[in-house]
Amino acid sequence: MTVERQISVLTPILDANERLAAQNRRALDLAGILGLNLMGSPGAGKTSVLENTFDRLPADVGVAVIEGDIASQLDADRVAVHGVQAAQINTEGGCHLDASMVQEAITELDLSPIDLLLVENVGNLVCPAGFALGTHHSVLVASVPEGDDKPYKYPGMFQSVEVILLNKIDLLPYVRFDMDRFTNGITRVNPAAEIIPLSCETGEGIEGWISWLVERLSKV
Amino acid sequence: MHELAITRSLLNLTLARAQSAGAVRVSAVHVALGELSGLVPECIDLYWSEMTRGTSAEGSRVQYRAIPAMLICCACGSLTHFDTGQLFGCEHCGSQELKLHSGDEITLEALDAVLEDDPVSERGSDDG
Repeated sequence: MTVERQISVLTPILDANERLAAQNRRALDLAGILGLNLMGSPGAGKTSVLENTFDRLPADVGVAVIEGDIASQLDADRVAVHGVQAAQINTEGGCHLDASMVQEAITELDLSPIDLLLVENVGNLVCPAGFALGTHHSVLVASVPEGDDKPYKYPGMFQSVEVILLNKIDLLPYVRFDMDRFTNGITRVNPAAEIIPLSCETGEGIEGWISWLVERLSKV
Repeated sequence: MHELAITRSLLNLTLARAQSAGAVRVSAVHVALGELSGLVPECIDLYWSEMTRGTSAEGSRVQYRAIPAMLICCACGSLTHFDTGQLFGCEHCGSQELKLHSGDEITLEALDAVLEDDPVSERGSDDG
């Protein structure tokens, strides 16, 4: 005899990922490492932000990078030029990193000299926002040529981060971009988010980002 | 866009929960889907029908409960639909500071499962 019943579950579908992310967080905490998840569209300048960060951080801060891309080793190579430890994840079609990929990549790194782990997610304004990695903070790299409407069109991403770096402000004189429209779109759905306009090309505004980072590092 | 990963997680969670409840078959899964989850139900359905093959959830359906995206006003506490709030601020007091209240859920709420009538007393003979 069989009987049909409804079984209550009430569990987030990404619960397994959340648990792995919590393990990653504990591993980082135990090693005294601050972890950041850098997200943004392809071409927003995530890797350029990383390069600018290495060059401007205090010399005693040990940095490692996990690069997430659908294919290629290009970003890990770009980072390695700066003498920074890098692990490359290729998702082979996957549109985002998840906690298990980061867990595996962490094992490739020598964590002992590291204070700061920067995880560069797959370029995408949708999926990465849904998958916790175990990092302490989430950062969005947006850019002027993408347009001022992006907070309205990709609310999930703009909701999910604590700081938004608006890159390529050196292009403001050449493209249509209403700064008020951009910032209003963020304030109305994520009032706590900090917006830091900068240019990786000219270096303008980068100090604001470095100060944000140094302040978080001092709390680890 | 990431329906494949979500569907895989949904199946793992479903099979684990069904097994622990002693279910022999799953006929439906009930999923709460927030308006901002970015997931396309038709796409999950397609993966679901493929991925459940050969499992106790083969032939089952995914039933969705849509959860509207609502913003809560930081000033007066009233709720405004996401689309309105994002463009004009709080519907009630006009404040521009709003926070997400609902709409990002991706939750397995329940399973409709076929169980042995008395799984506790029959447990030994049911396994395998």
